[in-house]
Amino acid sequence: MNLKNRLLGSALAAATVLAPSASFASSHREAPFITKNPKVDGTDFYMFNSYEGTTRNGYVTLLANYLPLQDSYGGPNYFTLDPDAIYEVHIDNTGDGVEDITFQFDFDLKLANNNAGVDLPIGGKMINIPLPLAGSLSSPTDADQNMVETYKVGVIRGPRRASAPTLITNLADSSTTLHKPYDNAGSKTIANYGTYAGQFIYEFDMPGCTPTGVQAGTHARVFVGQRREGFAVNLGQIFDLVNFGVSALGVTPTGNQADLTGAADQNKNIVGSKNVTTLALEVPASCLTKDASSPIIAGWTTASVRQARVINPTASFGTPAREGGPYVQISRLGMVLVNEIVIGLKDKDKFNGSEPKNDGQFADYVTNPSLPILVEVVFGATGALAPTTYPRADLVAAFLNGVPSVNVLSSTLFEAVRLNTAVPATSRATQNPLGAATCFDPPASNSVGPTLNLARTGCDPAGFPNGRRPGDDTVDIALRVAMGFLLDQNHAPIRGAPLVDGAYVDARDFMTTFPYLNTPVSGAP
Amino acid sequence: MRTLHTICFVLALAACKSDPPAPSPPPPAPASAIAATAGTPTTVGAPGSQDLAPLAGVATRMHDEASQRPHVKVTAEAVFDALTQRGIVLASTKQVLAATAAASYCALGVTDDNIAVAVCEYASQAAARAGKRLLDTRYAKLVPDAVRVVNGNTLVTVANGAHVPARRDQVLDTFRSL
Repeated sequence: MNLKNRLLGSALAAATVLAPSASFASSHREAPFITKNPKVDGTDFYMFNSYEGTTRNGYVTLLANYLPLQDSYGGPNYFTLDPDAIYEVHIDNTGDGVEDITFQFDFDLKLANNNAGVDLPIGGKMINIPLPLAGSLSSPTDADQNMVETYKVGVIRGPRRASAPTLITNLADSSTTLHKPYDNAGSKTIANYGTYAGQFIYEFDMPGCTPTGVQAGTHARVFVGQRREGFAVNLGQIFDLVNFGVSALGVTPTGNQADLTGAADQNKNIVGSKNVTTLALEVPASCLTKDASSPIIAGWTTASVRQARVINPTASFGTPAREGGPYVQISRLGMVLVNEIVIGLKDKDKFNGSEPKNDGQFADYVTNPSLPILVEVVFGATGALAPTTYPRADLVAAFLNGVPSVNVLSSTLFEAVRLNTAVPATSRATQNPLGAATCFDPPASNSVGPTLNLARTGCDPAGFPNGRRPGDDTVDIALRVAMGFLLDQNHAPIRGAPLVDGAYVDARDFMTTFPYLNTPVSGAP
Repeated sequence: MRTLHTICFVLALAACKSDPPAPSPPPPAPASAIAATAGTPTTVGAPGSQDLAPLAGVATRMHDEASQRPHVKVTAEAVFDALTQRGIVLASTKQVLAATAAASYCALGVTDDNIAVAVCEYASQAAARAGKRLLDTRYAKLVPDAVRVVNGNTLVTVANGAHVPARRDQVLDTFRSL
């Protein structure tokens, strides 16, 4: 809607004044303030070398999920994004915690007929219909669609508010306006949702970049639309004080409890029946990296809203409120679960409003994490100890700096997903859901750290924490790393425990092609 | 939101590196309470219960466990004091959730060489033995090197001591001598 007028300095100042309790997330409703703003609540961020097939070698896929926990029957308005917000995907290829490339998504929501909507003759009068549709849908420009959601994508080089975005162009029609598919209301509205949504994948060429290392004749792609939730997590038990079943850890669980050291798949993924809205990009790696000799990038997503909102007492469809002022970031998401289970409650909103370059202010939450102590309080009677070494340099490496020999971008500490684009993608069929975490030998001591061993059985260096793919079981990985997987046995007595949350995921659960995340759950199968 | 507040409270409890002066052990528990902690899952919320579904109330549960301690010959404080008197330095001690061990009250000490010393108090010796069987079988995968000894109504678990076996044995001998 409004791809202009971005002043970084005033925006940050406004963030401090107006959003003292904003939030960030790799997460669902993870911070107090973001629960009031579900349309801009970022839930997950994926970044990985595309594994669709040889024609997409050399591409990086970026997926930013927003608007969590959508029930598929949530009509009639379903789940449109905020036309007064901007959604962004940032890439830092120099390692200073400042974005070098930003993809900025700006949405618009309009009624048909120039915002007048569709009228039907009722008893001699033309009456505006109450629903977003007047019939079934089959194409992006279907005449039966009463409410139409479109967007533009701009590319900004350098700090995100320092220059105007250059809009990407749909190669099929040279338009800068792209359409977002209607949500999956049901099979009568949209007979084949997969086919329908596939028409909303647009090809474009990255402004200002001549790609290398990709197959001739291929192009970057973008898609925005509803997808089935891909994040597998036993959310309820995690937030029931990490209640993976206290009777877990070798115990036969009671009721619905998961066994923390039981099978990886205990059918505990309670968010799998929900939908999210995905902003998906697939861009040549060479257009994201600094140069050919610097293949590592860091990525994260943010959403920002206008500083001020005045509710219109005589609301119309186009103007339910007046919004103005600089954009203020209220959602941030990089590495999974950081704001949910690492950042302290009093700082969650602050984290959501923050920028990676200032992450030093949150360092204590990583170096001295609370989650392992909570686990120790619950399981201490068994003799289980949390890691005892502080500061937790292993977590600093995993979450703030990258893993040595894999994806360290610089010595600057900041929270983001880091990806070594030079590591070949692992095919869907052979991916290990425990990702690159499977590639380390136990450390002999903490001063040495874990040793990268690509020959280890099951080693999959193309997975989390080297980027993040939909099929990476990041909850299990994060749980084990938190309890000391990267430390030596003496300082992390239960480092080897195969801790699980009981919600299994792997690459075969997802589509084989871009945008990888599955067709959303239908509102009326 | 309430859950998060509870987490903060629990973490605040956990952050106590040294317990405040131990409360005096309460008078012997009534027979009904002893029966309730004899090793089988019991009423939700009662000390010794294994039904921990309402874990959001773990802080409340730990408070209840601390205020309903059974009368035992060897208290957690007595174990930690004895270790200290024998030159074993405890880097930290704190209350931990007893329900995990089907116990009435538990505390965890960690020596300066990182040996875990979990002391759990039960309402009876039979309950303590049942608690040992429970931990030995159900938590074997989590803490495979744990060594457990019952003395009266008290169960001690010593873990992560394989790297200093002499010290580990000293801890166990100290407990047995009480």
